[in-house]
Amino acid sequence: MAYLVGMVGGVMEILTLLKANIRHKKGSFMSVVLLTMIIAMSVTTILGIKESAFEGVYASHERMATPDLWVEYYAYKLTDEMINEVKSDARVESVSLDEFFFADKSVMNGNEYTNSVMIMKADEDTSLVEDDLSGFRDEAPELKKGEIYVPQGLLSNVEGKVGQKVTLETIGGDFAFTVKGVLLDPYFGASVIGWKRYCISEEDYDEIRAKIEQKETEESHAIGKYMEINKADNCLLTLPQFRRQLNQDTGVVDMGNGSLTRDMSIYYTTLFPQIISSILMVFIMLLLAIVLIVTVHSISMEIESNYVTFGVLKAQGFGAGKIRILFLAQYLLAEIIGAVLGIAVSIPFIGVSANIFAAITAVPAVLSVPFGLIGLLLSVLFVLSAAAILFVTVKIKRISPVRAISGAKKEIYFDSRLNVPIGSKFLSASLAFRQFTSAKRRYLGIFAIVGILVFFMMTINVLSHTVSSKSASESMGMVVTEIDVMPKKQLAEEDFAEIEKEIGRNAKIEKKYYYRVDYFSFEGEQIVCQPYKDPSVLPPLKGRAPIYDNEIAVSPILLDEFGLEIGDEVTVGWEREKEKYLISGTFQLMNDAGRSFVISQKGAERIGYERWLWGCYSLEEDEETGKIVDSLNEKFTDRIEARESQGMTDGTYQLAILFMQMIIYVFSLLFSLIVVHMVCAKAFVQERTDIGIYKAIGFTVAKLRLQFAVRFLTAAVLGSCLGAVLSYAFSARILELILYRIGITSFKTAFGVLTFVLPIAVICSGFFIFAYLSSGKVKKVQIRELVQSL
Amino acid sequence: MKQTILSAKDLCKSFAHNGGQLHVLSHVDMELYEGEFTVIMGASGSGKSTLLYALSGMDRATAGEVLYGGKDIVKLKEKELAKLRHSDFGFIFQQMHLVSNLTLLENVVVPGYLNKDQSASEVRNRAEQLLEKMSVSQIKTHLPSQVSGGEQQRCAVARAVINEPKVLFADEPTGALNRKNTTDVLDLLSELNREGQSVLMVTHDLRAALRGNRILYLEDGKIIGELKLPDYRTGDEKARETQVNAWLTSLEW
Repeated sequence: MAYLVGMVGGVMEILTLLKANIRHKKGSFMSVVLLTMIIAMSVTTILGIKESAFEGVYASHERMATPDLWVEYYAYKLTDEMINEVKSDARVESVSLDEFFFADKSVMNGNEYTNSVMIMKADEDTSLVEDDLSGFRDEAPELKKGEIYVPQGLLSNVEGKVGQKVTLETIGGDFAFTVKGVLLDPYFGASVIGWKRYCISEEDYDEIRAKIEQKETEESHAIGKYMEINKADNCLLTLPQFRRQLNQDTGVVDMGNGSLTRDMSIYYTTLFPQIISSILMVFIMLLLAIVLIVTVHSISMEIESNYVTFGVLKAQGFGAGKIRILFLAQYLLAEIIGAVLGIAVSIPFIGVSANIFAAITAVPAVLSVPFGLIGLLLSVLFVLSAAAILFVTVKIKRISPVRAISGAKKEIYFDSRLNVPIGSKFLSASLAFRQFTSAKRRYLGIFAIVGILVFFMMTINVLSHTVSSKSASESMGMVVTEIDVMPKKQLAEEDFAEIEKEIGRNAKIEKKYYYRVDYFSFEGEQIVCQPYKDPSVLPPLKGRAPIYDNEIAVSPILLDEFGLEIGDEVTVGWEREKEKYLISGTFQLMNDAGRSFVISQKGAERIGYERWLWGCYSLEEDEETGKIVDSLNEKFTDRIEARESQGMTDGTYQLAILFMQMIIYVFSLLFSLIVVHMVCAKAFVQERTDIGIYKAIGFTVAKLRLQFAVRFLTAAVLGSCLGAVLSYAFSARILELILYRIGITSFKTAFGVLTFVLPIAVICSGFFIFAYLSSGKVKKVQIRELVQSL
Repeated sequence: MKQTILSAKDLCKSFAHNGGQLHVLSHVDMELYEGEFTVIMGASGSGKSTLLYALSGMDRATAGEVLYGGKDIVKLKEKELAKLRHSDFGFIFQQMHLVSNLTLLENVVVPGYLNKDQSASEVRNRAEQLLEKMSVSQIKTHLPSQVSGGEQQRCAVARAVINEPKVLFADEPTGALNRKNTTDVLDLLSELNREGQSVLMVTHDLRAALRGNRILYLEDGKIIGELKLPDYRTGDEKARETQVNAWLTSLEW
């Protein structure tokens, strides 16, 4: 009982002190609340938006009852025998077939979508989403002649809208349609998936199909079929295993132009939201580290400035344990309040912004907030924070009441200094530097915080610079070209020489690549392959290019996935033919998120691959690209079709990176503001007397504020140097970890001047301005405070 | 006839206190003469320091005028007041108040650097001379925390006179010192006054008050008495002490 009374008494003491502390240190308490609130808001918003995007994709697949496996063929290749073989397979539950024809190009709003798309008849299964992607539509009105439904992925790529015209270029001619609605196609609708399906009226379909049929030749096919295969319930294989085994036994995938499982479709569709949220989550984790630094720093300063108070408390019988619990309670309370407020504020925000990725996933988001995960992450923050608080408050144990009360204060402040003389020319600056060096520990937190912020700002700049810089992209093994030339018939070397001569009339060709992209069989799995006329044009990561006809080079991701090594032998197939090949090296390949390999043209011919390679050209100056493409199409109209290339430097990626840059810069500045405010407030309390003295000897408020700002600027400059070093050392590694999903396994950092200068300039000027503003309290210091009586 | 260097007219100072106003100075009129060593005495809470701060421009009076060089310093802008503090006035605090992260020499040169009339080397030379005069030159590179209170106060005196102020204000300059240091600091002030420095000192220490040649007595924010004394160096110190003691007793000190 006595123990219980003692405990209640102990709690009451702590509660009384806690209330007093919060009342007297409202600024510090509110800053921790605010920082945690920002973290909780960011975590909740990012995870909520990501989860909603993912839920939208899952819900769309469920709504459309999408198949487990989808394979597309030229119609003439898909035989009844193959269909029956698949249907009779014990692992297969159901098979359905549908017909379509290919359109080579979609032109809308003056923009071209150059991937081949599948044009189908609209039927009772056709489903739509609202034009603004805000939800699913209950029904799809029957299409009239000249009308079409297209997925959001097309509209995003060509910046088109419902109501606008789209022209489809087919071998049967060009046909214009009015877009009547946005097609729900969770399998291919995403803007990052090249394949697309559009729906037109039965009348239009039959009419165009007839024209195409007349134009089809042995070398040019445009009527296709696709098979939708569902796995039997009792088949325990994963979808990749199911596809591989079914293909090994029936060749059903090898005979197709391409295939996709539902899992792969979901992976590609959600790839972009996944990467963006991963980058932002890494940033949030760094902000979390900053909150911990701020907490430790703030407590450390508080212990120093309340040294005497703690001595008095100890003299009154308060143990170090109780004082430490007081700190723990004060900071955890602030963090919990911040976390609850952050979550509460972000939920309505998720409601209005959940659809932010819909332009990429092409399906409406379904609002979903992963409270469990958010709670877990925030609990990690609380646990880490509690550990940090207990660690930093250990020094309270060492406070001797006698020593504290008898004035050990002076030993704490300004215990070391650098011998930089005070000069008359830069008096304020030299005094500021002295104040900085005299209280180095006070600015240590800022140094670390700026280091972290600048590091991440530079990392995102590196990403932006690398993606937008052609030379940087090329150094990572990306093929960046301006003009792609697609042969309409077999071309001789002289034809390409003539084309290149024509290009050379307007721009200098920097690099040329003769290659193509097709799906080959790789160890029974359908993997995207790039047959190159000369694979040595690509820089290998390891080993060498596949220069002999029995060699291939693979991406590191493929190597890992299949547990292979350079020198291993693998089976590669094209349609029904298969051969053994040696792995000669690894390349960084980004097709199909890095699941890709390269083969020489001669190597591909060994297994009967006879498709014509494209000529792709990288120009030294790209201003004349459009003009060159037009002149090529005009001059060589019967032999080729020239296109402007679409690649990593396209608007969607740039926009996404710009969006991330903005978020990171805004958050960094916001954090800087709060951190400066917190440190400034504590420094102000500790330096109040010095400020009074400076005023008494004739310093103006403006000069004193300048001194404050210069100190923070000094800390920010030093922190920026740390950030730059961290960026130089770790940016590439971090980006590799994040971008592994899109096939980047070796990130070559390209540091432009702005990569370094911009974050440093933003953070340093932010710290300088915020410190100057925060130091406005200097005005309130009265010299009278230096006198002890009236 | 000595020339007035600073004067206060109808000077009032109030502070907000417990929801009301605490009137610390009430319609004070006084003059400070050039070259004089004026002492303000009074009981605790009588408003001595408040008067000193109002006269020196360290604090603004609530009402009334403080005239210096033909200008009312109560009405000066913050920048003008700051200039006045470093160029025309010097101030010595009871608690020394040296900047803790500057050495003794740096504490003296910093206000000198603010005064643009002198070059950096001139300021530095004068600071060195002053520290020599104050007998702290051998510890000039020490931080305030590394020297005694007396040494700190001597440095504070040097800081206060680095710009050759017209008036030197001192707020209980010996209040935090032991007997030996008190005598040293008072000797320094007397010496400065002998060299022509006008001094206005607040004290409740009789020994310190004896250094002045004019003593003003403050009670409840009003000057209620004034005693003129001969020069400190002249006359019998014992007789001087008896005279001041008798005067103070008559004022019920």
